[in-house]
Amino acid sequence: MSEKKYFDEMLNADGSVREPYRILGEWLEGQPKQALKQLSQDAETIFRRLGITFAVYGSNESTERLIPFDVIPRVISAHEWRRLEKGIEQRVKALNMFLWDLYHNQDIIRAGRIPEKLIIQNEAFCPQMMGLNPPKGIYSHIIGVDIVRTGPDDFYVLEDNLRTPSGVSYMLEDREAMMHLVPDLFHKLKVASVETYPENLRRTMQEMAPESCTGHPNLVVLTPGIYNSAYFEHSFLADQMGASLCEGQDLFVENGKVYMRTTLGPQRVDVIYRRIDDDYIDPLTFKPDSMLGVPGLFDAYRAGNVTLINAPGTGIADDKAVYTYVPEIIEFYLGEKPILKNVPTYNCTSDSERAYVLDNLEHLVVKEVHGSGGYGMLVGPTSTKKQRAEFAEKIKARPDNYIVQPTLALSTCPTFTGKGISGRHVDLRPYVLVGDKIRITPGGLTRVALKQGSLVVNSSQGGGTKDTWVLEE
Amino acid sequence: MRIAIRHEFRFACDENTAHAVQHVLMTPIDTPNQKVVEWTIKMPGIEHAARFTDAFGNKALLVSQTRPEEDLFISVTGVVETSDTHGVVGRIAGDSNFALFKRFTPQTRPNGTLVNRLKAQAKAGASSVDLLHWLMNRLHEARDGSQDDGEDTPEIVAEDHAHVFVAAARGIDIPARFVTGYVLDGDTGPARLHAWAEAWDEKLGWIGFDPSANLCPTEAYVRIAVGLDADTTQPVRLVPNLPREADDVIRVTQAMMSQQQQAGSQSQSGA
Repeated sequence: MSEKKYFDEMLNADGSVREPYRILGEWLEGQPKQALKQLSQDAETIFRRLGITFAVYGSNESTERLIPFDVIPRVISAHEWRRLEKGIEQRVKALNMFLWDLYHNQDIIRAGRIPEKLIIQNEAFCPQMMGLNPPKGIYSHIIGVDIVRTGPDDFYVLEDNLRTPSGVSYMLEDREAMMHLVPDLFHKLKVASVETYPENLRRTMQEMAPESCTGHPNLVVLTPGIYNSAYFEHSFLADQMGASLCEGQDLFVENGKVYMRTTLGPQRVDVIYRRIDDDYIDPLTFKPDSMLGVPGLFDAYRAGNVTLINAPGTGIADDKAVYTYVPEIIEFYLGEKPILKNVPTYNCTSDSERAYVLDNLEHLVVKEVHGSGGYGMLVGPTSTKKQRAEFAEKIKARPDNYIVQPTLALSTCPTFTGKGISGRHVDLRPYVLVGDKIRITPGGLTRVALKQGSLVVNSSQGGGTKDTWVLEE
Repeated sequence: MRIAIRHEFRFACDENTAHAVQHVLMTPIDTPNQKVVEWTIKMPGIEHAARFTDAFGNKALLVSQTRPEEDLFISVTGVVETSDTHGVVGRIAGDSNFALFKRFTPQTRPNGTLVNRLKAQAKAGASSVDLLHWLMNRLHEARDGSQDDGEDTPEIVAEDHAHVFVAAARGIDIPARFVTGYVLDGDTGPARLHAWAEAWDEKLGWIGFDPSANLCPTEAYVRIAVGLDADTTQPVRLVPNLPREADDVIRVTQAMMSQQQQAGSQSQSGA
């Protein structure tokens, strides 16, 4: 498989440097041999000091480790970003309208534009949300849209993460590390700032305070606790926003309202950024055996006494089977053509499409409808015959449980490999905040598949991160 | 008919019960065939309860107690005026999300044999109302033929029948829901909290079916709450899950004038 198949974000086919990378390219040229190695070591020291770790489920090694970081930033031009931004904004607007509709009149189902069964029987559809009016009609306030690039103007949305997307702390820490490591480069290039994210998150939460809250809204971050793989991020964000970090046991519901236990007595809570999955937030309404949540929380939300960010039930809009309808959803609610493309997706419940899929598994990517984090997934081109046979059986047994997509030719970015610079495949997760307005942090988290040729960028599968530089004009 | 209801029950608290919350679905709403004249729920903490409409259109209460000193005693009294509409409940304001009631739940998994028989009849031209009546009769017959008849507790039988009915109706794409309510004391023993089903018909709206009694609800029925299944319509859901103390006291009688006045003099209306 020749490297030419993939779009190189830095180099043109003739070896010349693409304009957005010009200054970075010159800088890289000018670095002495050992400089990148030194920078990588310095970066590691910085991250160790910051204490950024993440847990890998199912790994036998120590439960916490550093997420690998590549010191060569990814560069996106102002022009490229503008288009991405527009496309993302369009998508999150439409998806929030879709959520409102599904939990109210269901016009899109009545209009026959999306199958009723797909919604009503979907695990991610939350019947308890029916008829509930979240503040300002917004369900998903914190979104991480996964985007891949295959050419100069070809961007595809892989998935819209509308539940509790993680990784934003890496975006912020990557930037902080880079500002320590290469201050001179920030003088040469005008890079759009990402540091406003925590402030924007705080603003978004304040804007979503329930109508009944008249004073200054009290904000908290609700975490499942220190054993969660993203605990670092929960505490980091709470800290950055000046909000309290709570576990379920720190909160209680009394007289229909939510309170936090403090040394000064109970303190009323108005807005909760919860990083606990829907099923676990409230044993009174959802899983009765959950110890992580707050009994009565959902009813207090329903009664309009507290806001949950994101709302429960947002998963129906990023469900992998619903994903194929997003272009339809954008047209239905906004009357616009989608700006960003969806990855073409095969539907295994259709006999002809399933037959094609089973014949071509070595070229395709198979994902579990409710899976995430790169678990339960088959990447055809790098799979073994045995793995493909296993997935073929799985698909035959439960065709509705899988979606299948062509293997995308993910773009590559220059990456330091320890020996030299070489192209590695990347994706991008921009972070979106939806409050009174839509705030998209320029850039986002670039995940990079560090193994040569690998297309799997998930940190749980050996991927690393890079700082993402959106250039200002 | 005017029906007077009194229902008292108790959950045991112990010294470890620091904080208790309850989701209470025990407040009936007006429908085309029932009008709530008076309704009172008494329990600790109710004066500060959050009152809201749940996802299924029920009036719900969120009640809490901090360090309850004694058992959690709940008393419900009320008077409801009902009329006989041959089970037809019709359309209720704000209750238009009938597609929601096609959703299968862990308690309402369709029985393949029943669904296939219903489908066959539908193919042969049976109307949906015919199908639902057939289904109700079929469940009733099955119950009479079962060996452990007489051993079953009435609540379990009613709940199970309602679940099977609801699941089968959903299996042929008819929206159906689980209903809790009271039935007038009769010859069949003491009154109880009962369970039945409602199914959606494009022409008539919601129609009640009581598969355990094999009839469509009459004026002897008072409807309390609806939902997807027994889980979503539990009269009192609570955390911590306190044990029920003794048997419920339930009286469902035809209301006399004096009883109505008595009920009307109570404070703290739940309606």
